Amino acid sequence: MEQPAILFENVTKQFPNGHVALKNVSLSFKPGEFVVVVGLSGAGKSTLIRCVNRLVTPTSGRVSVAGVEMTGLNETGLRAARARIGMIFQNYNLVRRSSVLRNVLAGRLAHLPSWRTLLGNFPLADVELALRSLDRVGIMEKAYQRADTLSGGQQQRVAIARALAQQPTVLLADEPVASLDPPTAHQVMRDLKRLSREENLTTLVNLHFIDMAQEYADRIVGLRAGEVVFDGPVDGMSEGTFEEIYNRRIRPDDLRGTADLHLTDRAAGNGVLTSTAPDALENSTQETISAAH
Amino acid sequence: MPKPPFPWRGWVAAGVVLAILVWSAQGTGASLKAFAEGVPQMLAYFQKLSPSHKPWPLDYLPEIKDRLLETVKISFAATVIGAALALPFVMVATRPLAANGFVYTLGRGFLNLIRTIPDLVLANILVAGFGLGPLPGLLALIIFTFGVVTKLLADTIETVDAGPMEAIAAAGGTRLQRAVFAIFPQIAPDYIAYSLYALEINVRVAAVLGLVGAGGIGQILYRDINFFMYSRVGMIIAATFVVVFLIDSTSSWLRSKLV
Repeated sequence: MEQPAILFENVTKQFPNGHVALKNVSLSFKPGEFVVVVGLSGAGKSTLIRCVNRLVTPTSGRVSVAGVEMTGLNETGLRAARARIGMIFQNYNLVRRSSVLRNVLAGRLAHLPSWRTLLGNFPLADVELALRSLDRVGIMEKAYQRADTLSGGQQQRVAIARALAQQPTVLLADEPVASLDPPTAHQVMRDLKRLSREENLTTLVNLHFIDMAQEYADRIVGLRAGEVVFDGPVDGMSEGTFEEIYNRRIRPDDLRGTADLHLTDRAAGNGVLTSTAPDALENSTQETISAAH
Repeated sequence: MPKPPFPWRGWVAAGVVLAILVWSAQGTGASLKAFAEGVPQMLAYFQKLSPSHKPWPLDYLPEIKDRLLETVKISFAATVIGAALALPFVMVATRPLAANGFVYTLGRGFLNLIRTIPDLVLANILVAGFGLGPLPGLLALIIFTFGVVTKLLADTIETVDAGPMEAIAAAGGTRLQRAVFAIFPQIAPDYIAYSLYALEINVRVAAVLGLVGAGGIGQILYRDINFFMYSRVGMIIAATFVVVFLIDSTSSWLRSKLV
């Protein structure tokens, strides 16, 4: 049998304050799978994803990435394993005052001798890799700008380029589009999906929006109060399935809206996104949602 | 209509402050009467210092210049060296960067210890060790600058956005890489501002370091005061005022541009 890209075996996480974020979770992910993890806030999505690269250490159980047991690694081993696990965050987590390129080069830190990076003396090959990564998310020309001069969507793409520069086998994304407007959110999701395909990246994405989950996922994992309550291919899912996961009726704010998608495509095709577009799009989103109910 | 609650906290605070004021005034013997008597005497002293009382000896200027330059050099060098030392030490004095809680507590404790020693006491001790001259003054100010800049920097780091640090940790970065790539760029403007702030204090302190024999303008000021050479003292004070004012205002202007 093929070795799982990510394996959770009876993972439980209890925080020092007593809150149990994950209860006996067992999951197995195949290489190249694009998995969306859904659940209400507080359901344990973030904890689940952070157990993969051990930003959170499980209380009990085992997590393995490509056969390497993350839960048993020491400091050095953990850094080596993290070098191949890319991560994207809701708030981008860029150094706002540093250049875009320097932010992307941060993805090379664990691949290079420490002293070289501390002097800022990156090998040419790594700089080229960073620039290529930026090119793949379409913002190479921003390389020498300060990160905080970019829009939210562009900043998230810098974060994706940083993860790509790690040459990862696994990509984790914790609510990557929660801070973005609908058209930008769809663009970022499309980028993630495309790169996952091109690189055969096993990708775990936390999402709150059920329509986006349905649109992009190969497979959906549903969490409720730290337990896996759904795990299966996206095809068999209905609104009812989500209502079971969320344990309540689906509300308009559970949807990101899809009507804006073709609008975005059109705008992207023209190569411009005018500043008035988001308002117009937001209105049309609301109409779509009310029409759907 | 609901009545607002009685602001008892404000009244209690005012009462406490007033009590402290009365208590400390008794301890120092301060009173309005002593103040009224003291002011004319002070004005008379100023009168003796001014060139209208007796023309200032202009041939004294070269020595004043040399000693002032020494003071300025001491404060500049101390600021640069002290601030440079602060950067590595902040790694053990701040929670997000220290290896563990023990290192952090030790680092913070050392920092607090350093800052409890008054500058002049420190300079005095150093004079005992290194002899008269600018070296002990320089060392005293390096230690002072190091203490102030490290403390302010450590406090700033604990309030900084932790997101980039998490990202670097997730990408497999070491503690040092987290500091250099995620933290230092965020605190760079604060670091410069704190160093300039330390410089402003250093110039003033350096001017009086001579009182304990630690070099600079203070040394000749102290001597001339002891020999009642009023005109010389007036000249020294005026020259020191001009130099301190220039450095101070330039530095605060620079700081205002940073924030």
